[in-house]
Amino acid sequence: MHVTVSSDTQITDLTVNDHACLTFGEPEELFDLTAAFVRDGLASGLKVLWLSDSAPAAATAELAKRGIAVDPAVAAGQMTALACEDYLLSGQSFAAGHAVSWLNEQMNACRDEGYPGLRVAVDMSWALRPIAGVEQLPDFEENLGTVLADTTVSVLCQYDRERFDPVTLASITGSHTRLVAAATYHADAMLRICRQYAPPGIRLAGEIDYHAEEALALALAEALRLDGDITVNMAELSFIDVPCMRMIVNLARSLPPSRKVILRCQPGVASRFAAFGATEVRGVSLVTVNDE
Amino acid sequence: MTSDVPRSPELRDQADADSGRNTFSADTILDQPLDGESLYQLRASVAAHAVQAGLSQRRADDLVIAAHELAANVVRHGSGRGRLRIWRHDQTLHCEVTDDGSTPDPPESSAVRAGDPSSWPVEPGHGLWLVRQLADDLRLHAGRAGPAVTVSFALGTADRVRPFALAEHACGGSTELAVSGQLDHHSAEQLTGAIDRLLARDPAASVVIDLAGLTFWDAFGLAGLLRAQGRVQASNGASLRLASTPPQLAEHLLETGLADRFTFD
Repeated sequence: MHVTVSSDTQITDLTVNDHACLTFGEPEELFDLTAAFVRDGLASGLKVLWLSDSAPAAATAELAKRGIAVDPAVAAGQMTALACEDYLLSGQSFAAGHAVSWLNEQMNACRDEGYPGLRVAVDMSWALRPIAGVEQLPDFEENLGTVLADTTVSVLCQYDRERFDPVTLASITGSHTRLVAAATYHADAMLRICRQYAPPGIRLAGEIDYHAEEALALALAEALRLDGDITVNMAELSFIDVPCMRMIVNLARSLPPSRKVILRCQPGVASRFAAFGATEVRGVSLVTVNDE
Repeated sequence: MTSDVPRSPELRDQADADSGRNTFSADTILDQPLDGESLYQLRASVAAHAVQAGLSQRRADDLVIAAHELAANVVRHGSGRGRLRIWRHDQTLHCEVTDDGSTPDPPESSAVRAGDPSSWPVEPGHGLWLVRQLADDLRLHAGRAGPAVTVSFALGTADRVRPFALAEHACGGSTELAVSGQLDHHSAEQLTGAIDRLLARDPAASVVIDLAGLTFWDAFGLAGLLRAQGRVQASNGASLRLASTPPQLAEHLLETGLADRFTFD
């Protein structure tokens, strides 16, 4: 059985003045990793900006869904979600110089407001659109290293690895201090098993059966080492067999009473767990999600 | 488990040729080999054909996991290769999984018969235990080459989709909850909600769930009944009885070892 854990840095390991390159494979993963980045930033008292590819309200709603207390942070001015177009870009054009001076303004404002540091996440999906000056993107990434040196500012550049071509990605990653991706335990056309960062746990997508038992066991064992409740996010899982269900339910049985396992599943998978008796195991809460 | 399940068309032809009897009217819907590399495709074919044949999405999902677990049994505990056939007879869909090789007994047969939820996780047998819960009927028998298991799923009738209704009335010193229609995920929550309200009003309530009007139940429905029983048990002095339990449900509870948890009127 092929088990892989990426050797990239974990999102939770980022420190001040990191210029990190996050690659993600699907929106779910982007929102999850961003939520962890925002959560840890807010918890350290830093100011947090997210320039997202979606409307700011939709972006903050995604964070709230993952347990981040966005509203109070937004109200207090500690967290801001922005659309790239209005800030990093000038409408439909990009200039490295303009983007760097915008970032400098933000860093100054952050210092003036008394925050000990700043975290900026930037979804780079705008660069996939016909934007004038997009060829300056590598220059911008290169310059960021100088801008961030000796500051308490970290920038997380977010690239969709399915949509950016490998050549572009390769030309960009070199100018970052770290590469960040979700820890992945299994990925093929049928199944993806990866760590979930917010709320902490694991995420299964596709169909799982005993062929992936080993990867699932590893993912669960690592989730067990985290603190607090464990979410097993199966919202995008359409099939699970009995050995895999048993493994997940046994994880719940092995936890102390203070910790819970939350199973998020589609109705079909949820009824499998119910038939299996999962709802009768102490510490298991079964949450049915409808396709959103 | 005593009903007479028609044999798969191939076996029947053989038997009919021997006996000279007339054949049943049965339609083969799917007939394909299986091994460890083809379970994903097997599930996809079973899902597509089950829905096509008229099973509801929910029951088709149940058939898919039943077929998968039976096939996985052949792959992991049997000879590794087998065959899956699905055919329709009257208003029932039958799915037979046979092992090409020869193992002395049908896989995990004792575990199926002894399937007892209070004892799990006891390895092995969980796969078949779940299948037994989901299928309307399960039979272990000798196939032509090796052991075979047939599961049956009744095709939906109009009666089965009658909506859920819950009526509460006082009956002597007890409160009767009359359940009718389908007991599934949503209605099971209504049922446990009603139990919670009753117990909040009177922690020592004597509750009767009248199941006379029940037309359909699934795993969530059963889990709801078990939850109701659990809530009552946890409330000092309260009691719960099931009344007018439909025979198929009573038989099902018996076979799955759940009957012990309930008191029947």
